[in-house]
Order: sequence, then C-alpha cells, then structure tokens
Amino acid sequence: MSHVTSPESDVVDLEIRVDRDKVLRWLGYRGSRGPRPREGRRIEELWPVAHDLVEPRGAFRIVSGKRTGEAGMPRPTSEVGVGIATIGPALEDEARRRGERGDLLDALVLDAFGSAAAEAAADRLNQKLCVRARDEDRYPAARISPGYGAWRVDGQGTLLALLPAARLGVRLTGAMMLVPHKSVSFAVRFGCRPSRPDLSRWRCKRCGLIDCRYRERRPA
Amino acid sequence: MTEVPGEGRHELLAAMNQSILDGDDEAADRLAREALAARIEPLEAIDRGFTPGLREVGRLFEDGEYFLPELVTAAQAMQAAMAVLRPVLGEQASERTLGRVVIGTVPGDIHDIGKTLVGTLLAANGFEVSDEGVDVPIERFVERARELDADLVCASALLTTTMAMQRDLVNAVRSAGLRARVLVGGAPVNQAWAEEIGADGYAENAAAAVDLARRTVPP
Repeated sequence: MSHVTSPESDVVDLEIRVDRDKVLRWLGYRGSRGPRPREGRRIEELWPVAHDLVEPRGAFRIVSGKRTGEAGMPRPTSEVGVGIATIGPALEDEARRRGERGDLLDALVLDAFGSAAAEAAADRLNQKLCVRARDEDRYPAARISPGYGAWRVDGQGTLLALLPAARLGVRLTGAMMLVPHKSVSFAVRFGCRPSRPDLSRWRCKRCGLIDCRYRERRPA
Repeated sequence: MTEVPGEGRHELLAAMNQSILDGDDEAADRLAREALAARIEPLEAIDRGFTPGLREVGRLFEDGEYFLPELVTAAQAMQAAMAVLRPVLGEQASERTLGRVVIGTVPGDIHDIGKTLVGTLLAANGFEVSDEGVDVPIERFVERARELDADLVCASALLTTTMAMQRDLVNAVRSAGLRARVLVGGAPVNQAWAEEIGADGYAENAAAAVDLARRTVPP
C-alpha cells in the first residue's frame, strides 16, 4: 500500500446549502410538525440575515493513523483524513447580541441555522476529502469527531494541531470547546477496500466512490 | 376608567390567555393595558388571564404540540404583559415572586443559548432571575446566591469536560452554608449525574426546568 499522507492543507472556501428541514430539526421540530405562521415568518425573515453572516471555510489533509491515534482516535487505519470546518464567528456573535437584548427567538433561530450550516460545511469538506480518497484509491468511512462515541473530547487539541486551525480563526478553550462554536473537527478512516461491497451494486450520482456516506442513487 | 363587568371581563381574560398561546407580545402588551384601564386588578390579570396560557404552553410543549420557538414566543409575550403590570403591582410584586434564582454556565463553559432560554422561561413564570452569563466562576455563583438569599442556583454545562464543575458548585454552595438548592442541566447531564454530585435536581429541557423549579421551591 502506497502512502498518501499530505502536507498541511490550504484553507478553502466551502460552498454550502443550508437545508431548511435541518434547521427546523435543530429548533426541535419533528416529523411533519413545522412552525406556526408567526414563528415561520420570523424564520423566513432571518434566513437571509443568517446567510449573510456565514463564512464557511475549512481545511483537510491526510495523515498517518499513528498521529490520530495519539489524538485518541479509536482504531485508526494506517492513513486517516483529518479536517476542520467552520462558519466563522459572525453568526454566533449576532445570535448572542440578540439574545442579550431579549430577542430570544431570533437568537434561537440564528443558533439553529449556525448548527445546520456548520454541519453542512463539515459535510462539504468531507466530500472533498472523499474525492481525494477516491483519487488515491482509498475508501473512506464515516467521519467521526472527538467527543463522539469512544473518542474522548480531550483529544481535540492534538487533532487540531494537525490542522491550520489558527489560520481559520478556530481556537480551543481549556474545556476543549471549539471557538467559534459552529466549527467541526473530524477524522475519517481510509481503507483499501470497501467495507460494504453491497453498495457497489448501484451507481452514485455524485462520483464513482463506492464506500461513501454521501452516496445518492442515480434516478432510474 | 371603566370597570368591565361580567362577560366582557371574561372575554378580556380569555384574550389574555390566547395572546400567550399565540406568542403575540403586542397583543399581550395591549391587553395588559386594557385590563388596567378596565380596573381589572393586575393580580387577576396575571393569575386568571396570562398565567393559565403560559401553563398551557408548557403542557403543549411536553405533549409535543409546541416546540422551542413557540415556548420562546409565549415567554416573550408573558414578559411583555408583565412589563405593563409589574409596576402597578407595587409591593405585591415581591410577594408574588415564586423564588429567587441565580443562573449561569459553569466555569469553562461558554455556550449560552440553553441557559438563557431557561432563565427567560423561569422569569416569565414568575421567578426573579439573576442571569450571571457564561463561564461564571464558582465564587460568583456563591456570592450572588448569598447577596440575593437565592432559593435556587441553576447551572448549565454543555460538555463532559465542564460538567465536573457542577460538582464543585454543589460543594461550594453547601460549604458556604447557603439555603439555595442547586439544579443542573445541559447536554451531557442526566439524573444519575445529578444524584452522584448531590445536586437537588436535574431537568432535561427548559420547560422541565420550570416545573422542577416550581416543585423545588416551597410555596
């Protein structure tokens, strides 16, 4: 197996689309339940405001599994993709300001939008990593982050040291909290063969990668 | 100033209730003013007009009919009404307080939206709330609880790395000999954790925090 570890990645702008349903889920709505007209109108009014305050950027690289193992990543493969995505501080600053002046609905909606946007940015960055993996004949697994499952959150610092966090304006507090909050660091195990060969029976409309969480079935 | 008799009074109180259910702060403000103009006692407007609406909103949230935004707009409508009625209550205002609450996030924890939501709902439900903000030193919680002779200290923690501070807070409040009871919440917190650290209660969401606060503070 050839090694594909890469030097530090450049910071890249990320094109994202924030899904309204995901924002509603962050607001607690479930199933077919949506907001009432009053709250729905406010969400619509805040949508462009939130969009303008989001600056999705990120960086990724491929490192040896030994290094992510040092960050506490459970069961790293010999090569691992690592990434960090953020939407910047402007949205959460505005949410805080509005909360402090008593506009709690606005704060809540902007916070939910930010959560959905940060996840969308992480997904977009992860997709770039997956394409890179495909080009290197690797099969990435789903992304995981410190604090998820068996990966202790105190591995966050070592993971961030592998990435240009400072150039993205992301820092870590003593309590291992990312600032801006709406930032996501993650790692992706790379395998040499698909972990789920059954997925190769249908073609993805995005690319030829078989073992990828973003696969979407081509319309018949 | 005209006193509203019988049915008109009933309709006005029902409209107050509905303004909270609708989360309509403008209507709540207007109806509070109408109540005063109609010589309805502010206590009656609160107890028979607005508060039943807020309780109904809490029930609808628990039943999954209302969600966080509806809970928030209801609380904001309640606050709009109270802003009109509170000054008229005079001395009755302090007698009406359900309890004094000091709230904040524990040291190292800088995520404020959940804590702010709980503080807003407690205030809307009749508690006197002192929101100390985020990353609040343990000494600050204790100092404010002593100054206010607080009934409750409420502490939120978002991460496993900061929830340990809730234990330190419980110990500090006890060591200081304060009567305040300590309630905890936050994403990684659960009932077992609350019991382990000797906290007086745990609430899994903002509406549950209001119920818990009502149950924890003796009338």
